Amino acid sequence: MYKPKDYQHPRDRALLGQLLEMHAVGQLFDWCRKNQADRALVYAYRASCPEINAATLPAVYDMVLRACEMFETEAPPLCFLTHDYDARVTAAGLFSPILLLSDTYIQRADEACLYGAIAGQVGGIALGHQRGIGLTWLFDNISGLLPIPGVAVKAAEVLLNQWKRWRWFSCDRACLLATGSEEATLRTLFDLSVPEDILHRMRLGTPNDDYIAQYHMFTDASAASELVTMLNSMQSDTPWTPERYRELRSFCETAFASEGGTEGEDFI
Amino acid sequence: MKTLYKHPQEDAQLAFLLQNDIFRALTAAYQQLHASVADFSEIRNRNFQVTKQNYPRLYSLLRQAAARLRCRETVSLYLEFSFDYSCRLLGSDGDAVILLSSKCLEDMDDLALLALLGRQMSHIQCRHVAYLGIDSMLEPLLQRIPIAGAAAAEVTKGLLLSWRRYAEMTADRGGAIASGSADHLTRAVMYQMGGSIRRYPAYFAEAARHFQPEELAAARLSDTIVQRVVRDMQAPFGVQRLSDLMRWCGSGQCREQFPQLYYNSSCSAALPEELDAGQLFQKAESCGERDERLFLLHGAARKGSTQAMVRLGQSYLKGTDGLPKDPDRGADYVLRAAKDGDADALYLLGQLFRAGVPGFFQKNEQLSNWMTRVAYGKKQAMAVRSVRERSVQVPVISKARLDKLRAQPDVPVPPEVREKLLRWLWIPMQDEIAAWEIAVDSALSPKAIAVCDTGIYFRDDSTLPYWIDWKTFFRGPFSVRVLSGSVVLLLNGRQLWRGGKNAPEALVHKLIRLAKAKNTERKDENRHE
Repeated sequence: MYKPKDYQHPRDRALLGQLLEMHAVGQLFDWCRKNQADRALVYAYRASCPEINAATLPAVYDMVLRACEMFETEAPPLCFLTHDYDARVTAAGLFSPILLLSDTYIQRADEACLYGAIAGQVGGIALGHQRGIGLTWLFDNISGLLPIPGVAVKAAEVLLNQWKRWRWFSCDRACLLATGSEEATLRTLFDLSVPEDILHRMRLGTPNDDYIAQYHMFTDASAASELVTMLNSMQSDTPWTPERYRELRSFCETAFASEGGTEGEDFI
Repeated sequence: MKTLYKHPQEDAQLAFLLQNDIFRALTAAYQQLHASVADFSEIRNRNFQVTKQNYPRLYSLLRQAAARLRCRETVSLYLEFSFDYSCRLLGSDGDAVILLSSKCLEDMDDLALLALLGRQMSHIQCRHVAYLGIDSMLEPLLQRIPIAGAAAAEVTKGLLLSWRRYAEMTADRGGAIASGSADHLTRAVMYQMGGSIRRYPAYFAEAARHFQPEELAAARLSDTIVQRVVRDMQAPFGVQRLSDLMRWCGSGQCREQFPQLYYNSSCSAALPEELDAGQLFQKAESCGERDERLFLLHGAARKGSTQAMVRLGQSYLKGTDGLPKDPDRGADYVLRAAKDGDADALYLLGQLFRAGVPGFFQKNEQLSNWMTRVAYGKKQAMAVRSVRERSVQVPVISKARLDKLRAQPDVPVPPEVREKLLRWLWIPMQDEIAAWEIAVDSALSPKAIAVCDTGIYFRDDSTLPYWIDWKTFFRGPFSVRVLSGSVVLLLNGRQLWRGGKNAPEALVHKLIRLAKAKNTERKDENRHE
């Protein structure tokens, strides 16, 4: 069992807290509750996606339940199957969390990676990420209908854009805690972009980790390159892989050190 | 036909939609500009058109879907490369094309493809094409108009969404009618919704059956939220649609109007799962109650009982046993049983080619004789009697000529190869195989040729084999072409066989030599079966 303080990244906590304390966001949530926006969102998925439960995909649903127990979520999220070649496990919803699992990823990923990806998102749900994700969805899709001024939307969007990137660090930590394997967690960072056989040869998480050289190229970049990276970051919802890699490995050191392990001792 | 399966809510929703001025204006503009210019320039430049020659199997599925829905419109089918299970329409009403993704072709079986093509045919038949096209272009078009445009787009999209849900339900019914069962359409939609996980679609389908639609408050916001969630999905409202389809297929209306769909869909009645195909057929034979008997027979046919297929084929061909007269479906059952090597089905097929079925089978004495000879080889009683009464004559080649084709004289065909060739190429058992080539050794889509004393049997990319008797071979105008280094033998302009590259000993070279020497040795004769 893990509490939020065990894995929530401080920046994730700070930004999400700031966001939810905004008056306009509070107003918006009240309006959504009153108009049952959450119910419409759940209905749309329920009407269009097969639901994953103990009867339909028992092995996968069991992973969700295990993760929920581990991170002490109030209730298991509604889980749906989707067909998306480029997706793993995605959290959605607003007040009621929803988990979308891609059929191709379920078939492609090994058990540790799949459980890690599920646990990462369930960990995020335990931290209340669905509210931030839901806000993003509302701004992206129905901004014209919202009852708050455009200026307030912009202000919330600035915070949201930062939070969306930091939330991944908490999800990665949740993934690590759930799988208990640094190697499996690192693999989830790459498994949709690197072929399986190459991924296994990269020796991720070992002293001979092949990715370290590329990681150094990122950390030792020139000022101009850093500027370009920063500008590009603004267009992305997820942090750069080297950032996640760095955060994960440094968390790994502390997490395993506190348990008396030494898996991360040769880190960079 | 379309009025029989149209969803009852569809017309009401359309009438409501057509009251919207913006929508009416868009429809006119769409018909004039977008459909004829944008869509067609896109597909002609990027996509690959399916024709009878280049993809006979898929082409025949398209024609079959159109025939079963009685859709008279000529529709072209194009392929696109995509990882999605998509099958969509481009163009406009009266001038539409279907675009099928490569992923569908890779993963779906013929019946699921037939269901998908049937869905699109149904959209075409019910004149949905323009409205579906407008749905996809509405937002980018109207949002260029500041403020008022976005608001108008929201209202119109909400109306379109309400109509589209029912239009898709109508199309699903059409897809089920075309494929002959709700199960095939369910499988295709399940793929689109992520159900390519093969072990589980039955559970998902079961869950979909219990879906209950709910009324949402604050209609405008709810509509907008729902339409934004479903807009990028490959099967919007897939679960709700399947639930509706299953209810309809199990209804009295479906039983009256589309009995074949009613009896052939597993959602109409649960069959005893523990029984295999043969046991189901036996149970059907001993069952006195008509409805149950028909469920059991259709279930047995679905599980692969050739006896049940033949029985249903006969019933549909004649319109007996409580089933409507449906020659297309009857012939389909007979063909499927014949492909599995059923002697009764082969004999029946011979009879169909002898008499001809208007619109489905042209009279063809040669094909009729072939099927009868195959059934005779399997000792089918009627075929034996028929051959004896009619004294079927087959032109056979002289032994000297046949020996020239053999790779090694006096070496018999290995039994396992002979068994495959007989099954794949429908070679009568009594024929002597002299030479053969197997290009693709696959039970599903074999590619092989065998030269026998009675002629040449071959099968390339098509679903059925061909037989060319020696008389036709020697008389027919044949030609030889070299394509990418391979020698190709054509008869009447049609590719007979393509030899391997740089292989002078290949069968095609021997056939060419034989054909060239046709006037020099005339010792061929007819054989009485």
